[in-house]
This record gives sequence, structure tokens and C-alpha cells, in this order.
Amino acid sequence: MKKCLTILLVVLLLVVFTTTLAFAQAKKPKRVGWVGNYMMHEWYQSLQKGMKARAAELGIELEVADANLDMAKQVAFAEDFMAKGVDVLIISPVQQEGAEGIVKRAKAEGIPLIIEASAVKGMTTLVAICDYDCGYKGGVATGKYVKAKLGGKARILAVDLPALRPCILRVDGFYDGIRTIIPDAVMVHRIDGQGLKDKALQVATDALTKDPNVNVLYGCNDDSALGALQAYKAAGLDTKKVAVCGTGGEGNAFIVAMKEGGPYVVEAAMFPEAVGYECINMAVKLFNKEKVPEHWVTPTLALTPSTWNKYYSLAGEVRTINWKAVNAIKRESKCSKY
Amino acid sequence: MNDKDVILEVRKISKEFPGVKALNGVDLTLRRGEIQALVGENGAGKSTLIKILAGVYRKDAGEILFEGTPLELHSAHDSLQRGIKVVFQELTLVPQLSVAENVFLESFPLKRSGAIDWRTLNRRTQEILASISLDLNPTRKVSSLTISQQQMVEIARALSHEAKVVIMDEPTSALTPNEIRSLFEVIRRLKSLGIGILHVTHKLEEVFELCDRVTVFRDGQLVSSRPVPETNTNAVVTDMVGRSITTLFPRTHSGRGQPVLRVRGLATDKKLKGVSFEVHAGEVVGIFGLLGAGRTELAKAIFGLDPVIGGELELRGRRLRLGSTSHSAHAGLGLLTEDRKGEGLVLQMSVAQNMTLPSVREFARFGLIRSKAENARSQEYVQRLAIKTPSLRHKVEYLSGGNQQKVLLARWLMKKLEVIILDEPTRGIDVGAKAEIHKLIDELAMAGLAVIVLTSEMPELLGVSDRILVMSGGRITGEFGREEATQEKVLAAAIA
Amino acid sequence: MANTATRGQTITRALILFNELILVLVLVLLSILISIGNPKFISFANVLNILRDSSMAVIAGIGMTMLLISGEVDLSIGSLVAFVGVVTMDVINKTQSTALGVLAGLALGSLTGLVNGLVRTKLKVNSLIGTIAMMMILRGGVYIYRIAAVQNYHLKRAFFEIGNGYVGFLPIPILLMAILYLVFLVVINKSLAGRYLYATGGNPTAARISGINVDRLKILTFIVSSTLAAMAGVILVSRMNSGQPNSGQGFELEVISGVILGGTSLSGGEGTLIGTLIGIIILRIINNGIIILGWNQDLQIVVSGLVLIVAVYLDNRRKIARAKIITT
Repeated sequence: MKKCLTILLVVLLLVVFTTTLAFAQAKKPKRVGWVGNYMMHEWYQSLQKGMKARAAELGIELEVADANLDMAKQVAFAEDFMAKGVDVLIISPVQQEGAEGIVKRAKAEGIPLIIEASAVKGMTTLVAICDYDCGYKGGVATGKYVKAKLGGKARILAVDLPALRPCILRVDGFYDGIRTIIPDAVMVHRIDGQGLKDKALQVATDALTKDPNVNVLYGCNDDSALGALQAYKAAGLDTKKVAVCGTGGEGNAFIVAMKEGGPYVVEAAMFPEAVGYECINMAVKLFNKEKVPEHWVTPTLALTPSTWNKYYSLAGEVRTINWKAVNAIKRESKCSKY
Repeated sequence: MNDKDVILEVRKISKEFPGVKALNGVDLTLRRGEIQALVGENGAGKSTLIKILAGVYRKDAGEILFEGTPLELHSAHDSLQRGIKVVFQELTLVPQLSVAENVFLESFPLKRSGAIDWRTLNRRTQEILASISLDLNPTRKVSSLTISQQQMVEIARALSHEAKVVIMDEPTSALTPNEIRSLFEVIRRLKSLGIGILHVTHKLEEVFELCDRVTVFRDGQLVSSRPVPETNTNAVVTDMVGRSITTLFPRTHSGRGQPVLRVRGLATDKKLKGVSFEVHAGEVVGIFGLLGAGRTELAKAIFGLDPVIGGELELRGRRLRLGSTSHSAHAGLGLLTEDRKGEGLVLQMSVAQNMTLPSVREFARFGLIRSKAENARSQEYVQRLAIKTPSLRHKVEYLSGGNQQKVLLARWLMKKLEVIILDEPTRGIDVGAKAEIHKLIDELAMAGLAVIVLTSEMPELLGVSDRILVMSGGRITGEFGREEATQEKVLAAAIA
Repeated sequence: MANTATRGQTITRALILFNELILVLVLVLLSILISIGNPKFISFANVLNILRDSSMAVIAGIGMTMLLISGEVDLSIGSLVAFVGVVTMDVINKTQSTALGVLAGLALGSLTGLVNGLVRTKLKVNSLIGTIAMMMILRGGVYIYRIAAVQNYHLKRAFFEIGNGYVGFLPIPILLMAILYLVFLVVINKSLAGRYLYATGGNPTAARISGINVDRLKILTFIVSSTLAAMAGVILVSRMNSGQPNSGQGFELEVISGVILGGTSLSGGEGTLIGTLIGIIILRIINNGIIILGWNQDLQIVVSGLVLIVAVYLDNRRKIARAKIITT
């Protein structure tokens, strides 16, 4: 018996060894260039952390440039990188139409190009989350909470950002998701908070004066949700009778809120670090001329106060992602809605 | 009265504003080729009549006959179209455009395509300028011209519209004697072209030098209209004021005390080239100079408004810091500026507030202004200087020019000063008010102040000053005592 | 018959001379119209809501009014509000003292005002350009200081009270606004400093000749104005419960629009606090009303723009009528 086990163990070890070796032997790009959209934003700060971590792990030299919301700058940086001779180029487009030029150039130069965040015509592949499905998961989790703890009727105040399609998809997804659990959920307010906490506070206050009878607060990003929560509190309404769901998890705000033990009970997390991580993985794939789907979906998941610490840990003001757990999350093969 | 010669007739014109009858049944006649002076105190009705003729106001009653036919004016454009051109004190030229463009502003000659015919424009402008002996390049930008030249361009504009009547509203306030002479020649040219001219002025010497007829307004009515050869200054003044004014330049003050202000070698980088003089307590020093001589620059340099590159100031023996207005003000200097609206008055503030501006600290307790005290003191001065205003709270921008000037004078009278500099104190002010201001200058000297008066009006200079300094090219070029000063000596020094 | 005619004339005359006439009319008219659409608008809760939300703009507006009267402007207050929020929250987190945090925030405001004032008076840079530059420096600076928002780790009660507390039925921000408003009402209308402000803005040369130290006055006004804006920032961070580097965007435009709607002139020498108060509240009412009525939020900016144009136009007509009455 012992002999069989030992043989099994050796075979297992060999398999593991060869696969890692094989993977390690797979050609890796030496240099990858990323032209980001707006590095000052928390989302991209976290994304950058994930990208850098994975690149370091694989021994890839990563160069980062910030277009700072300027399409012309982005084109310039991209051309710089291509001239310098990067093996793979990644861009987070400032504008989808404006980036088409970069796609054409990269194809002409034969440099593999990865698009992060929003699709561009003619691209090889997009690494991004599914906004609709992310919101949907948040809706489902919120619905379950409301059914269990708040009496089963859902009246929603959603803070949206109608200027950006991804945000509209998240709110739509949330609403569809919550209705799978509570079919007669009502969208009482759907207001524009411009994605900012102070604006969200302002418009939510007005909306709640119009009709304070809500028990679900949803934000298309964390700032929007938290702004709405502040408005709710300031209106003197009972925080024990409301559930708050945010989207994104780009910073520490949601963790602090969940740790407080208050009404913030669902986070439709988008794991920016994972997006960065997957970009590097995709770079390796493209470098090895593998066939890849047009949209490579990165993980999203509805986190709750009891589950968030499986994926993130917070020490002081620094948060660390738990790669094993996040990488294990099942992803969609393509989004339900675009 | 030859009817064919009458170009403009005004019959029983009346105009009323809420509470005030500005014109009360005025009849006026103007002939072709006649230069008629319109004189009268501020508020007498001259400007109202002119504004009606300009189309700016609508008459309440009466009629206007132009070349025998009744005329209804609905706008300023109307008036110009019909042939009446008013040259206001505030010129209406567009500074960034050329002379020719301004002359033909409302009626550019066009080519068939609709584009501006520049060649014709410049040629016709040249013709008009020549007709009034004005030697100017029609393509020059108006902003590069002097005030006097700009005035001429306004007149040329009248000719481009084939004006038959030209009305000049106090045209000589900002001009040098030479420029005034040129202007008068132009006006005489207009006369020879058969144009009827109304010449509004406060300067009676002009009336007698230039005009054929003098018409006097008082309190909204026409008091008299006589041919100039048949009248004299006293008669005109009596008509204007309703009483006879015996002296124009009262002097009761006795003259020099201690030297109060010593200026040594004052120089600026722009105009002043080293000016030195002294002023004593109780003395009135008149400073004369042609345009560009540096009078106003001197006043501003003494006061610290302009940067000084050399020289020193001593006030009662103590060195005064140069270039700092707060130091000058706190040391006891006061300045009545030449540009009363641009630099003197805060137009949006009230009469009382403008008066008390340098002294307002006196009325404050714990940093808060006590209105009762402020108003009481302001009222004193309103009465003392006979300032016509509906109330102390009235915004100063609505007062007439003469009353505005009085408010500024009251401001400096109110403050305990050592030295007061008055830059053109009676510019644009009618005879009645002028005499009052000269009396105040005398009072200031009586009170022991050192008074410096900058003026370009010769009679005033010779009349009020104990001592005269003449400036030219940023330097003092002449000094005369009251007894020895004559117009010729002064002018000679001024062009040195 | 003649008697009633003159009485009507007298009333019209008095109305035309009432400087805030158009503003009050617009305020009342808008309120009535919105209330007809949804009576919730006029509920006590909503009135408090409007006043509390306006309090930050009004407090900053007091400072902006004084600056505009003196002939200057400050476009950096939006970025300042963000920076103040971040610094205040950070300091309270680190020192566990609300007082220290608030003082730090206000000090940042005063310092900004001092720099703005010096740039204007010593470097002679026009305040429009100078404060735009400060706006960029502060906005960039706050992100360098803290790229992520500063969360509330201290949970101090006093901090919470500033923006969310009540004195009786009155929210504290409204109380602060009222106190500051009354204090500065006296300052602007009755104090020496107020008189000097109007003179400096109305005619700087005349002010100088009258012995007013124009440079010192302007520096002081900048400092006071920025400190007031910082106060608004402290109220905001308390209400948001986090120091957000991306907050305050567009705040300067909101405040300036309200101040100008209220009749303060961009060229200096004119302006009143009551006009500013009503102007800012009108703009707030429009934004609030649109949500209360359930209209498309994109209309907020459109309606505000229309009201601005109409109000200024009507006020111009009133001023012409007033001038006719006064000059005769």
C-alpha cells in the first residue's frame, strides 16, 4: 500500500513539476507597456498594484504611463511604447472612438494589444469585468438580505451616473438581480450623483425628502452608495431598516463601512487588482500567439460583512488582496448585457 | 428776421422729469452760418434741450422746425440722418477703428458686391478733413490721436452726414490754448459752409471771442438772446445767475506763513525731470502748464500715486516717504484729482460716504461707523457749499458735474489737512459754482493750509494765485509773484 | 380717482427702488410653482434641507461677496474645500481631537487666502488667473497628499455634530450660517472695513488717495474669504463622513453664480449679503425642486441658466427705471 501511495505521490509531483516548468518555460514577453486612463483614481491605483505584482512575479518589465484623461496624450504614449519596442501593449482607452487609431497602429506594427475597461472597434481582446452581471450579483445578494432581515419588500434608491454606460448597466443589473428574489421590488428613486460622494449626498437628500420610504440604497460606485447612506442618516431615518449595496470596491471605504456593522451589507466587488493581474496573464497568452476570446472577463462577486475578509485584508490603511481566493472566483464567459 | 436763413427753430419746447420741469416753454432760433452760444448754470436746461435735439430725449410739448418743416425725432440715429449732429463731451468714436472708418461709421461707401469701398472711404474722408483744414491721415487709428484731434474727427463725422446743424457741448474743457484755437478755426469753417452752430460753454471769454449770438438759460427758461456785439460779460452773468456777481476771485487771506511743503528734485521715469519748489501755510500757489507739461504727474508723484525715481519731499521739516499713498494721506496731504469720476469719486457710494471717505475713522467707535455723526457732519458741508442733492444718501453718480466737484471739495475740507493739491478744480463747472469754489480756495488758505492749484485756465490762474509756477517738459520753467504775473509772461514760460 | 392713481404710483416707485425686488419675486414665484407641483416642497423638512444644503455655499458666499465688492475673485474655493476635508479628517484621525482637526482645516484656508492675497498684491497677478492657478495647485496637491479618501477612524461625536447635529430643531450648519451671516452683515454695512471694501472696489485710486491701504485690505479680505470657504469644507467633511479629494468640484461656480445672481457686480464696488443669500437659495431651490418634482435631472443646469438670464434681465430693466426716478 505504501508503495502505491509513494508512486502516486511521485507521479503527482512530476505532473505538478512539469506543468509549472512548462508554464515557466512558456515564452514570456520581456517588456509590457500600459497606458492608463486616469491614474489618480483609486480604481487605477489598485489595478496598477495588481498589474505590477503579477508582472514582478513573472519577471516581466512593466512600464506605466498616464494619459490623464487626454486622448492625444494616450496616442502619443502608445506610439512611444511601440517605438521603444514593447512586446505587448495594454491601454485603458480615454475614448473608445479615439483609441481605434491605436488598435490599427498596433496591428500594423504586429504588436499585441490588450484593451482594458471598455471595448474598442477592431480590438483583439478586452480584459474587463461584466458591469451588468456585477450589479446583478449585488442585487441578488441584497435581495436575499432584505428578504431575510427587512421584511421582504424592497423599495430602492439608486444613485446612478447616466453619463457612463457601465454605470447604467450596473444599476440595471442590480434591479434585475434583486427582482429575482423580490419580484415586486420598486425603484423609487434613480438619481444622478455624478459618481461623487458630495453630489450623491446632495441629490439623495433631496430625493429622500420627496419620498423617504426606501429600504435599499444602491450606488453605481462606493462613493455614491456611501453618499446616499450619509443622506439617509442625516434625514433621521432608521439605519436598522435599510440595506446598502455599493459597487466596485476600489478603495478601503467599503471595508471600513462593513466593519462598522451598520447597514452596508453588500459590496458588488469588481476587484481592480485582479483586472491588472489578468492583463498580464493575457499579455503572456497573446505573446504566445494563443487564441483568446474577444472579451476576457475578470471576476466580480457580491461580498458581505462575513465574507469580505476572505478576499481582502486591511492593515491600517493598506489593503492586501488574497490572490488565491480571488483567482478562484468563477467568471462569466461573456456578459449577459453590453 | 429773414425766414429763409432760419435753419432750426424750436417753439415752446417743454420737458418734465418726475418732480422737475427741465424745460418750460423755450423758444430758440438758429440761422444758417450762425454761431450761437448757449450758456447757463448747470441744471438750467441747456443739456436737456440739446439731448432733445439729438434725439436722446423726447419732448413733452412744443415743436421743432427744421428748415421750415416740423421734425419728429425718435432716436439719435434719426437726428443724425436729418442733419443735426451733436458733439458731446463724451466722444462716441470707436478707438480701435481708423479715422475714416469713424467718420463714415453709419454709412460706409459700398462696392456693388457689398464689400466696403476702402478707396472711396479714404478719399472722401480726406476731402472732408481738408474742408476743415485738418491734416490727418485717414487710416490712423483713432486711439492714437489726441483728445483735440478726436474731437475734430467727430466734427468731420458731422460733415459726412451733411449736417446742417452742429451742436458742440463744452468742447474746450480738455484742450490746450493752441488746440482751442484750431477748434475755433474749424468752427469758423463750418460757419462759412453755411452750417448753423450751437456752442454750449461755461467759458464766457469763448463766447465773446467766437460767437455771433449768446443765448442765456436759467431754470428751464430762455432768459435772453442777444447778438454778441450788443452785450458784455456782466450782462450775461447777471442773466445767468439772476443776480450780479461782483468779484470772481475773492481774496481775504493774507499770504505766507511757514514753509509747509518742500519738494526737491522730484523725478519720475515718465515725465518729471527734477522739480523743486516750496509752498507756505496760507499761500495759494498756482501751477500752469500746457498739455504734457507734467502738472498732473507732479500732483500724483507728490501724493505717492506714481512711482518716483528721484528726489525728496519734506512736510513741516520731516521727510515724507515717497510712493506711498497711505503715508501721504496720513501725513496730511489731500488731492483733488483732475478726473473726478475716474479717480476721485466712488460713483456707487452716496454723497455722505464720498465726503467722509478720508475722515470716516473719526466717526467710528469700536470699528463701527456711527451714521448719525457722519450724516450730521456731511449735512454741514452740504449746506456750507450749497451742494444740490435730494439727500445725503443719494448716489453721487446722479449729481451734476459741479455738485460732484463740490462733494470732492467738501471731502478735503472735512479732513484736517496740511497741504491740498487741487487739479483743475473748476473744470466743466458753470460760473455761479466757479465763484463759490474760488471762495472756498480762499477759505482753505485762510485756515492756514498750503494750497496748490493746477489749472489751465488763465483767468483763474491769475486770479487765485499768490504765486505762479509754470511747468514745461517736466520742469519748472518760471516763477512769478502775483503782482508781476501777466498772461504773456506765463505763456512764454510754458512753451520754453 | 386722482388719489388712488398716485398711491399706485407711490407703491410702484417704492417697489422699483427696492433693490432685491426681482430676487424676492423670483424666489417666491419659484416656490409657489414648485409647491403646486408637489406640496412636499414646502414641508418643514424640505425647507430645512434646502437651508442646510445651502449653508456651505452661503458661508463661502459671504467671503466671495466681500472679495467681489473689493474688486477681486477667488476660483480656488472648490479645491480648497476638498483639501480642507482631507486634512481635517486626517488630523482628527491622528490626534483624536476634533478641535485640532477643525483648526488645521481653517488654518489651511487662511494660509491659502494669504497666498492668494500676496500673489495679487505683491506679484500683481490678476486674481482670476492667480486663483485659477491656486485651484490647480490645491487639486493636484490634495491628490499628492492623499490619493484615496480619508475615512473616519476616530468616530468623534463632536465631529459628527458639526454637519449633522441639531440645536433644538435647527441643524447646526444653518445656525453657523446664520451667525456668520449676521456678523458679516454688520461688518459689511456698518464697519470701517466694510466702507473701505466698497471704496476699494468702486474706485481704487480714490480709496488710495483717501488713505486706505488697499493692498493690506485686499490681503485681509482674501484671508477671511478663504477661511470662510474652509469652514464650508469642514461642514462638508462632517456631512460626508470622509475626506474626499474629489469633492467640491464646481463649488466655486455654484457660489459665484449665486453671488452674481444676487446682484454683486463682477467689476467691484457693489454687492449685498442679502442678495447673495437669496441668489444662492434660488439656485438651490431649482436643483431641489427638479428632484422633488421628479423631472429629468439634466434640467437642473438648464433651468438655472434660464433663471439667471431672466433675473438679470429683469433687474437691468428695474435699474433703468430706478435711474429715471432718481435723476429727476
